[in-house]
Amino acid sequence: MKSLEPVIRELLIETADATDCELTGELNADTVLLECGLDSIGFAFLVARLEEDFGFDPFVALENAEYPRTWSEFVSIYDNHASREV
Amino acid sequence: MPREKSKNLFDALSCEGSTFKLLFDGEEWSSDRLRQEATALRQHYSRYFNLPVALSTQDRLSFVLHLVALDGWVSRILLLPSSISKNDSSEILQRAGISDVLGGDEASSTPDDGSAGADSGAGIETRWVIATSGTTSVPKLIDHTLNTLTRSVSVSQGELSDLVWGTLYEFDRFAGLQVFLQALFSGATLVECSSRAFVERCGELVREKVTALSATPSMWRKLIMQGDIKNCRLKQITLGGEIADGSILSALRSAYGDARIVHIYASTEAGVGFSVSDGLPGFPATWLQEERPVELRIGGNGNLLIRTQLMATCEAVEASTDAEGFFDTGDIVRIEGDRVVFMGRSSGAINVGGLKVLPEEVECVIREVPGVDDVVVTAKESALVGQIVSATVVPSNQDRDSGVELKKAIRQHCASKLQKHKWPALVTFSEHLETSDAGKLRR
Repeated sequence: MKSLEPVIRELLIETADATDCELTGELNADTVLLECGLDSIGFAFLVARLEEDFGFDPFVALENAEYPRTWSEFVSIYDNHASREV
Repeated sequence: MPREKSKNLFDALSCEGSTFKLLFDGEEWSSDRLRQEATALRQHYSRYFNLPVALSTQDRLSFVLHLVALDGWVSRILLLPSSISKNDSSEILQRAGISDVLGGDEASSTPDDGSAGADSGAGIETRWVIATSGTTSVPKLIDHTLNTLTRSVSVSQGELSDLVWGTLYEFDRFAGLQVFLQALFSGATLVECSSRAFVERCGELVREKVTALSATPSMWRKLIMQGDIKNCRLKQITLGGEIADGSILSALRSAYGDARIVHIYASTEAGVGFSVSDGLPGFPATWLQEERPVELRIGGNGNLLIRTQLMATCEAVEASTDAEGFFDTGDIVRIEGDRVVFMGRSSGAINVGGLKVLPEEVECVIREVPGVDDVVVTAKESALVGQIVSATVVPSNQDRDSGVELKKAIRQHCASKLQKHKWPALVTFSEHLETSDAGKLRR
């Protein structure tokens, strides 16, 4: 199954713009989320926007709450959730 | 072994064997050293003996020294948050009937011989006046005593004195003050780093081997996401200020299996409420029937009511207290199985990461945008910051293309008029809004 990464990346850039956050640089797998320039309100906005697009919020559904630290962890929470839904 | 609480901070530091110490910028301030400096300050401020004063300083160490010196020395201390605007500050001072502000450059008191009771051990019961975190209006002033502020503070020199507390909030706010008082009264160590930027602060908490932290659930999520906190061997974890849900409690439990996890329910208005340490959301329903220091009931409106001997006093508290002495906290609760769980604020304020948003205020701004007929603003649950703002708009024109432009216009207008946490994360369109029988918008 195709990764949702490109969609999430596009919405992250859009959200950063909409929430007045300046992204600090190139986003790669190991980028630490809290250092990418988007603040916690920005991430909450992003998760809400992604829910509009994907129809799910994987953080609400998490049974064993895990909070992503890096960009790749964030994306894989979405990918894993999407693969379970199929 | 538990012992009697001292009647003021100065006395608490004077207790034989007080092991409290403050680490500030890598420098250690023992109880003795703090007391000596506070004694000198009392001499400096001798003319304020038994008079009301306000305290305002951005220097955290100076703030602590002033608190120790002034508690038991002046009649009232008004804690002016350093973040407050000049206008608000003037209004608060006027309302409190206080004209002398100590702690800053303006505190040019003339040192004198300290004759006014300097050696008397003072013995005054100082009243503390704390400003609540206001959102749209000037903060409310709440009257406390050291007794009401330390109701939930453990006075023990046992295991608690081995704890090393980190500070995440400024001392002049209720949350920060509670941590300071807990560390002082239990003889623990307190690492002051609340003024640093977030990532730097996380580094300092690890470097100083902090073992106890108190934060809102939103802040805990942020700490876990940042990651450094995993390198702290936390023994005491306190949550407060927002609803502690099952997911954050279980995340903390799995990260710190042997830590004591406590969530505190506190009302700034009524003083501290109570704490829950079984690691589950809400509190046991049996507490509603039990005789407890803080008695708990559910009101006919579904709100949590509390009654206690040591209630802070102010008009707002009196106005919300019934004939039996129960104070309506404004927090909606629900019984789920054997637990009473918190659902939110009855006032409808949205809580974004601990910051309150009044839906009406956001609606008012969105209604100013051309093309908006009506709007209702509601809370949407967010696992990251508790709640976020969601707006459902009735557009004048229902066609799809103009919708994209309208969303953009709404976002831009909100960004120009409101603080960021009040911006709507979601904007959706609807043909109409639901109203109650009384014609009020249903949120």
